Amino acid sequence: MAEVELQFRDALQNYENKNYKKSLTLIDKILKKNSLHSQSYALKALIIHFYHPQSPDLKDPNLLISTPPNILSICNDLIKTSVKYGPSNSISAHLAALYYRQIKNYEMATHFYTIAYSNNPSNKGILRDLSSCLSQLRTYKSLIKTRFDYLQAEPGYRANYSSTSIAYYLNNDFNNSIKIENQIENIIKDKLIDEDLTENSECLIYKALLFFNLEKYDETLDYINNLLISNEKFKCYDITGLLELKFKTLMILEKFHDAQLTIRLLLKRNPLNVQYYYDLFNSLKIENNTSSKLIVLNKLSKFYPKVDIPKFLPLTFLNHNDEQFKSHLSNYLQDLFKRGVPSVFNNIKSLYNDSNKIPIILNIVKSFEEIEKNPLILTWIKYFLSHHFDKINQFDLAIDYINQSIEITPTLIELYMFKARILKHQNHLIEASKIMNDARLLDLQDRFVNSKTVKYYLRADLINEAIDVASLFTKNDDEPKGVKDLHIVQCRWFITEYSKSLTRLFKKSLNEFEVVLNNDHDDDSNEDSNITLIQKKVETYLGLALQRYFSIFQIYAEYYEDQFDFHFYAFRKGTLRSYLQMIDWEDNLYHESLVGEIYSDLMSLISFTKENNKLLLKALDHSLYLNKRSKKDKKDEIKWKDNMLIYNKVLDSDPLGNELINKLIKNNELDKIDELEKLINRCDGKTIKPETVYFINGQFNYDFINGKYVVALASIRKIKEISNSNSNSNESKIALKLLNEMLERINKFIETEFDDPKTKSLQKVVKLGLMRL
Amino acid sequence: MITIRRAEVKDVEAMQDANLHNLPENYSIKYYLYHLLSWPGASFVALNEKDEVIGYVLGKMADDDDEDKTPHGHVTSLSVRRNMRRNGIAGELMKLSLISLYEEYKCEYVSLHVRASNRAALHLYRDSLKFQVLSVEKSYYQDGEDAYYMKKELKNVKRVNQDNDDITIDLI
Repeated sequence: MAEVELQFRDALQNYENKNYKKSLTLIDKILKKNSLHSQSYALKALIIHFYHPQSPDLKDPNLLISTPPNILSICNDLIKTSVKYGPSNSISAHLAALYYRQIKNYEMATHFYTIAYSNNPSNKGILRDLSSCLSQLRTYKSLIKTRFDYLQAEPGYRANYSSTSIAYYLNNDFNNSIKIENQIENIIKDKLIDEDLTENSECLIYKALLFFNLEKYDETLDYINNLLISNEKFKCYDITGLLELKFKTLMILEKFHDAQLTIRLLLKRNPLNVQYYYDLFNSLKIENNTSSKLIVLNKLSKFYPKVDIPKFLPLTFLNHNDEQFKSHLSNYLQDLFKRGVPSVFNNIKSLYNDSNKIPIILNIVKSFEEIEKNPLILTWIKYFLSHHFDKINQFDLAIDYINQSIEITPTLIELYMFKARILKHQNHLIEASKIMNDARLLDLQDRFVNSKTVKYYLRADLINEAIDVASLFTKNDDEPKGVKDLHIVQCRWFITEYSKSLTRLFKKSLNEFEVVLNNDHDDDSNEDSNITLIQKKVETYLGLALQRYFSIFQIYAEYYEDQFDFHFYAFRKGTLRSYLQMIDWEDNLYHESLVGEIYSDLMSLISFTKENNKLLLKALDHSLYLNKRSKKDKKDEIKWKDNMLIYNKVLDSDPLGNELINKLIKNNELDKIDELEKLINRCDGKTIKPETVYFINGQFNYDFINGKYVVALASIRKIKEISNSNSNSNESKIALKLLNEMLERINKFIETEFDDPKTKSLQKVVKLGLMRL
Repeated sequence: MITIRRAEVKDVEAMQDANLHNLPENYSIKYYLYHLLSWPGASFVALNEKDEVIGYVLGKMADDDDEDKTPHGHVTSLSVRRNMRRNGIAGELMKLSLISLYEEYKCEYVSLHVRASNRAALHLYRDSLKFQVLSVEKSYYQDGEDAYYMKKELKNVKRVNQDNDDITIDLI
């Protein structure tokens, strides 16, 4: 073997043993003599993207990429050089693929795995990783071939049949999926061992799903029935799963009697699943027959005396005029109060959707209140009444009742928590947070009341108080406070509330700045307001708000990334149905409602900065007032900044988001939000954004930021439609609010004076379009 | 009205969220995926009428226990929102999980850890579900608190109410 090859092998070995420094030295040695050595360039890129000789401890290769852009570009150049000197070198390509996999660029990883594989077809590891990349990218057409090739190479494992079957499934080719399942079943029939029990069980029920998807319902039914009566050791053990699929099949085949029996078997297994009750009504064809439903539920409540559902359901379909409704409700509530259930109101809250039922509920509970002697039960009754008045927006009465209940039993945390909630509904946010904190102090071990306190503090924009309380339940190893840990544990709710609070504080500070600025012109007497500190606040709150919004998307990126290992793992386990569920979940990840909300918030914030660009740039200009600053001002500022760092630092680089502001706001470099837009739109064009208020608002602001005012009109039209449709829903209320914001924003654009004739004519077009809406 | 059903992958975020609100021991989403893609029958969720997850149990089989090769399970995490407590949800979640572990995974016993100070949980496991306290593990938790290590044999675990509905008799 040539010397260079020996040296390279040594370098590779050192890399694998994590001796990165040694490996790099060897690589440099090779390249000094053999500057055309393709493989060395690729290995170098693979190492230095996470390992920096100057600061070897800086990066953890397991973290989701956080490689600085300058290093990434060096690495990409190294790969280019490597390709130049060895375009079809399998080892170079493999190393390049590993590099791109590390930086989560699966397109490029796939590209290089493909090259590596075609030049070295005997390397099965490459093929397997290629399949995982293709799965991650949802490139299902090519996946069939790679899975199949792997199966040919390794036909001794059921996992490889499973993965091939799933590849067909993902291409909607269920016939071939079944073929593969049949093949492996025949091979493995007599060779199953105890360790295969679960895998086999999962594969058998997966096959039932294949028949069902092929709409071969008679076959599905026969197949399931055979599995259900099987006495063999190697059978399907997921009886619930089998029965559920059997029920669905029977309903399609209109075999209602059998369907009804099947659902009763399911109820025996789990009488707590409300869906089964609805399914039972359907199979008995009594969905609209009140008296039959009552008979059935009455029987079921005798079969399952401890289960709430058959007792509650009649309340949902009995008419409020019906005398039975009243008596049934009275019994139902009495039972819950007697048992001391705190959540009685939550249990029946859905009945409030029918406004006719509300006064009846009130009357019954009030009659309980009059005669109840037991102080604890009376407390819960008053607690219920407080909920009632809160629900119908009579907050004073709600407070009155909660105070009465606290007077009777001053030790119950729930009571204080609810009082805080009413205060929040009355928009007394600071008072609400104080009361919630009082509740927390009654039970310091309970994280639920801790979390609520944190949330209420954030709603009141008391960020430091919130972080202090939250930090009682976090791991604060190297940090004074727990914010970083809350990022690590993917605590989306906290970061969401935190971002919203930072956004409000940013806007408030900008307002303050504007006021001081105007006063300044008037009389030059703003001695006591530290304007540079206000500037600092504007900058820091904005920087942190932006950074936190991106942090939430980072968590979603982790969620998406996390499926990667399962493209291999699930087949070893045989959990094929769960795998398919995972694919579905990941495919819809960026269309979740929280994503919509954050997308809307972030885009609105950025378009707010564009709209108020002049004022904001002034606020961000430190040179403006530097000479006006007193010594005390300077001291205050440093103190404030240090404190901000203690509480808010998550990232070592750019801890307060100043660089992010430079990029996004000052330099108008929008690639970060373009990337986001692409993710949410799903670049493969398979899906489009959900048309819910937040997604529409996000879209509007994204277009606005990019100066696409005419396109943005489409979003206004959509949100107008939602705000006009059933005006009572929460969605249409939010729509109305957002519509007004959009109109204000677009009108502001129309009314601004521009010199540029192009913009002027654009204003006219937008104005016209707006009138036509 | 509360409903309980088997956990599906689409529930992982809501389970994580419930966990982060309620409990000090938290896990990244990958750990939830690992549970559901290894033992899909072992975890359950409780939902309210708006289909929001208000409680969950995350169960698993032991897959790295070299000392004891008998199939056995472990309850990783159980949680119910504070404002929905005293409805018996935690107990029902546990029962469903235990039966599945037994039926689907041939699980012979289940073990779990409880914070020494968590009296409600101790009551649930010991008194209602008949777990036995095997030992006290000193400073088991990150914050230094001790844990009770508890165990329950699943040999005779049965669904209650199984025989109440005689399906040979019509409901109407």
